[in-house]
Amino acid sequence: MLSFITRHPIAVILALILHIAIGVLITYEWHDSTKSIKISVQGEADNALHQDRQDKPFVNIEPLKTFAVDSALVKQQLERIKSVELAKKREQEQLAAKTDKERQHLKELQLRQKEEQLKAEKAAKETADQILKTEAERKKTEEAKRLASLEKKKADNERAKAEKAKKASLLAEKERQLANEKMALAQKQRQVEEEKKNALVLEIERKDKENKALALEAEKAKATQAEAVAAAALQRQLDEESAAQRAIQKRQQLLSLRQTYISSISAKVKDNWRTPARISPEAQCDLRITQTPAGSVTSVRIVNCNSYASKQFKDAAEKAVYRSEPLPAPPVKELFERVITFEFKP
Amino acid sequence: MTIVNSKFVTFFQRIAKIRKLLLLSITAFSMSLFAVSAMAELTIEISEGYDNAIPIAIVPFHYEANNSVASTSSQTSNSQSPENLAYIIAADLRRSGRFRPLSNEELPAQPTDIDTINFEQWRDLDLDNLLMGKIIAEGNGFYQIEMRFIDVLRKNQVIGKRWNHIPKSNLRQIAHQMSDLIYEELTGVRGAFNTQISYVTLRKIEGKRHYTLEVADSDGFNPQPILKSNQPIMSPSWSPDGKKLAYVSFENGRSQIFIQSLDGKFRKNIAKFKGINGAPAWSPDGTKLAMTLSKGGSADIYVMELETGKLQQLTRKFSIETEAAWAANGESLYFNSDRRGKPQVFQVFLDTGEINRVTYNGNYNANPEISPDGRYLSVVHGEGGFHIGLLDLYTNEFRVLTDTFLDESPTFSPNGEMILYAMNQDGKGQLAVVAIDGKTSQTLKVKDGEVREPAWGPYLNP
Repeated sequence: MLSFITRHPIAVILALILHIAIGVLITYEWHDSTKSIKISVQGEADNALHQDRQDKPFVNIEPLKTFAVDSALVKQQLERIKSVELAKKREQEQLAAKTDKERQHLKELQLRQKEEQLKAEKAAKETADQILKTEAERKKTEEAKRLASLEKKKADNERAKAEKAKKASLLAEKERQLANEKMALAQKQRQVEEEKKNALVLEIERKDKENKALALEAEKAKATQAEAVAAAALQRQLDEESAAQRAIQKRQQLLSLRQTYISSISAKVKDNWRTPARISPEAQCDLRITQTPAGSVTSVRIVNCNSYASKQFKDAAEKAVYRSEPLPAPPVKELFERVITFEFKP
Repeated sequence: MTIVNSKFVTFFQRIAKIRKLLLLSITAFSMSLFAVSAMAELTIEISEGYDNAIPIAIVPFHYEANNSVASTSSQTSNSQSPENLAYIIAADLRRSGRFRPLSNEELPAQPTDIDTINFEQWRDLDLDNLLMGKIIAEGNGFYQIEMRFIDVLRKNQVIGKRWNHIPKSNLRQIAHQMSDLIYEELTGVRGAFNTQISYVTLRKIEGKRHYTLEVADSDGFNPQPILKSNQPIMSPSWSPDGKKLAYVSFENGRSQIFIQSLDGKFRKNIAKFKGINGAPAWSPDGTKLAMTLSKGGSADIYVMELETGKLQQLTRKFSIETEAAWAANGESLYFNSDRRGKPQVFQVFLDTGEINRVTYNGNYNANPEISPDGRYLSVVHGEGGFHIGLLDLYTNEFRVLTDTFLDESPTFSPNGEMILYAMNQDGKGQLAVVAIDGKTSQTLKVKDGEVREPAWGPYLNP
């Protein structure tokens, strides 16, 4: 039965639904349950109702007619309906429970089937393993037997070899002793020869050394001589270089002294600058002064003036030069310049 | 007469409010022009000078008297020389503030010829220049003057000049000309020593006020009275040729404008309109006179064509417009107006009548004067007193030049280097001179009175 169900689940479910539908059709009562008793209550008229009354045309409601209702009959009728609904409900519940149960059962069946399948697969695997195992053990024992026979053969061979070797070693011992004696003799001869040879070599070496020492000494003497020459050359070079450097330094010193010298003249001229004229602060000229070694001015030329330099400015500049007589002497005689030009801006 | 006078007082007081001028009494009506009697000689005190004034030697001029005139020319105090030219020149140069002339005691020698100069001797005194010269009597009161201006450093003659047939009365003028030459040689600016100034002196004699309009040399010497009155004289203005003066006189009981030649041969009343006739200013070309008239009700600026007497009204405000000064090019006028409440300087253009405000520094700038080159505007600047202020019209830089008391009436020297002005010292009106760089100043005083209303005349030989 179960196997049938598992094989045709859709058919079974459809059959079930059909059965249920038939059951429902049989049990359903074909009367109008929606029909209820209409009850109108004429209470106090509120505003809304009043509004209603105004809006709608007045409808005559027939006065209520009281009639005797058999309460027992009503009760009975109600209970009957109730019981029918209860039975229907219970039947539905039962049906649902049954379906659940069957579904559960179906599931369990499926699970069990799967387990059994797994078990069968496991058993088949185990039997195959067993067969393989026995086969391997059989091969192992056969191999062991073969190895044992081989071992035995080997041992026999080695024993024969050992005996042979023993004999050979005895022979060899005798030969060795003979050879040793021969060797000792030869060694003695070689030793004597060696000593002779060594003495000769030593003699040669000594002579060699003596020659080398002589050559070294000669070389040394030569090197010393060369070194002395080189040192002298270096010294000469150094001397030359330092002289050149001294000359540069001196030249720089002189240049800077010359600058100081010209500045001292320019400063003295500035000190002596004065004019009653209104002079533009921008006014500027070059002053070219010719002087005697004593610092007397022989001539002043005002050149390269800018546009701000008026006649009064030029005159005053020239006068400032004359007023600066004697012009400052140079710090060293060789710096004296007969013609000196500098920029003048008071 | 009294009604007219009281009206005038009202107007006059309005002007006086602006200018802070001394209120002059106008109660007396009599007027008289009288002959020259006591001359008020101005004495000059140099109060400040340049710290770096340059030493200069002005050697006394060698006097060579012609035998025939030697005895007659010995009336001068300075040995035989009719005039101490060296002293006049030294004073001129010292007054400029730029030179420090050596005293006679400091001079190591008094050479007369370039060959006799021991240059080293002069150089040791830290000198650059030396002036020497001769006065040679020609006879009959005429003299020959010779000058040699020597560069001690370059050992050469810079200026050499001779004047022939000079009367004794002109010897001072020749000295001033020499000062001008030296000043121009050393500073590059034309000297203004050989110029004249005019001013008004006030003396009280026996309770009466005596006003005198005088003209003197720029050094205050040789004062000549032009007009004497016991009524106020004000606002002299030089004609550009230096031969005439326009001024305001109250001789007729109210202000009227007169033009008078310095030699006294010509005098004309050119403005006697109702109300104020004041502040005359000669145009640079000498053909017009700007003035303040109140004939229209309030004081306004007018320009009168001197040839025809035709008037052009330049301002039409109810406020006070006065003290007109011509721009150097004669195309516009600077004047003082209180149209904005406080007196400030405005400029009006003659052709368009357009008016611009010029001064903005402080609340009070009155009495404008323009330097001859048109660059500077001097004003009476009221701020903590009244001082002379100078506005550079090129840069708009403004400086207060003086620290004297109640300064007024600034007037430029013709070379624009100095400003002559009136001020109060010891309660008396005095004149003072200040350099436009403010570095030197001097006071001009009269011994027994007050002096006001200065006006510096033009170059005598332009």
